[in-house]
Amino acid sequence: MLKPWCFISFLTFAAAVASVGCQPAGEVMEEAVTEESMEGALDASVQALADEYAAAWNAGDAEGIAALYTEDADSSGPDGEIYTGRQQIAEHYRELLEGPDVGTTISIRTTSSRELEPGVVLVNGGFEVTGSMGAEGEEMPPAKGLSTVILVQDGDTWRIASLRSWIPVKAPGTT
Amino acid sequence: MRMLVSIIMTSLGFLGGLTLAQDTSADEEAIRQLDERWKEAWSNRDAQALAELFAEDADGIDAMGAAVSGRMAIEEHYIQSFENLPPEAGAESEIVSLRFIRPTLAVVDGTWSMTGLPETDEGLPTEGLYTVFVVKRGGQWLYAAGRSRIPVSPPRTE
Repeated sequence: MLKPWCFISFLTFAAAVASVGCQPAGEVMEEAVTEESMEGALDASVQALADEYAAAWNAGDAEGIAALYTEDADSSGPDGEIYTGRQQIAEHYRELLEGPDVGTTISIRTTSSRELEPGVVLVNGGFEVTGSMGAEGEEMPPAKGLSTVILVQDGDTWRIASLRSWIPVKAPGTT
Repeated sequence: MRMLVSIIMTSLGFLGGLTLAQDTSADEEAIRQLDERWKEAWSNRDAQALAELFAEDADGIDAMGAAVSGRMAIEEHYIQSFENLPPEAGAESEIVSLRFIRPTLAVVDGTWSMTGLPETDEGLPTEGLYTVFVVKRGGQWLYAAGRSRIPVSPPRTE
């Protein structure tokens, strides 16, 4: 059975992506969480970094978030713009946290991680931002998104070398 | 004598810098070739050739959040995708930026678009952004992860 939204799943350039049955995003996201639960437990220090990120976001602390990145990191959120370098990244978070995301709360859960090479891990996760206000002051529904982050080891801690996050589009015909 | 040493040191430094730059550009070229090979294999509907461009442990997540993990699953994904794909469907992509995180790890961002898909009234996006993380293993650059995103402009509506 050919469903139109089956097409989008391979759109993904380079990508991969599961059209396995062409599930709507919601179901697949849940699967992604369980299917991908890689061997071994997530390093607690990786989750600790996610917690630090969330704490800084929730405090409206753009500099605090940027400090979790490497000096030459790159970062791109749901708007698709790529910000390079800790300073640009800090400015971007400041714009968000003083603008559309002012007063919001983020929660982050890491769903899988794997080592790409010694001292470098790729981490997949999901996030949820609550408390956004619409143009007329109305409360917006939570924004749920996905993120993939490259972390590099810096002594005892991890720093974000590259971050991509996005709000999944809904498969047409699903709610 | 001191001047000679200085000239030699400067030359060595220059050569050293040159060698480094050349190494990076050779890797950059190899990474760009990876995308070219992807496009060729995709237009040939060659799932096996596509899968060979991915690292054994590679994963992909698309703009809807659908995920696939591992080279074998990726090949299966492409096989299934091509079964549903109209012959006239085409994929275009263009690299927008490429950055080395380490000598053996780079992040590549680009845009993709698709043509030749059946008209639907469901507003299916036919263009977006992609990010691939590529790794050099055994002297060969491979996709370690692929992500596809449709940008949304704030304030968020969903």
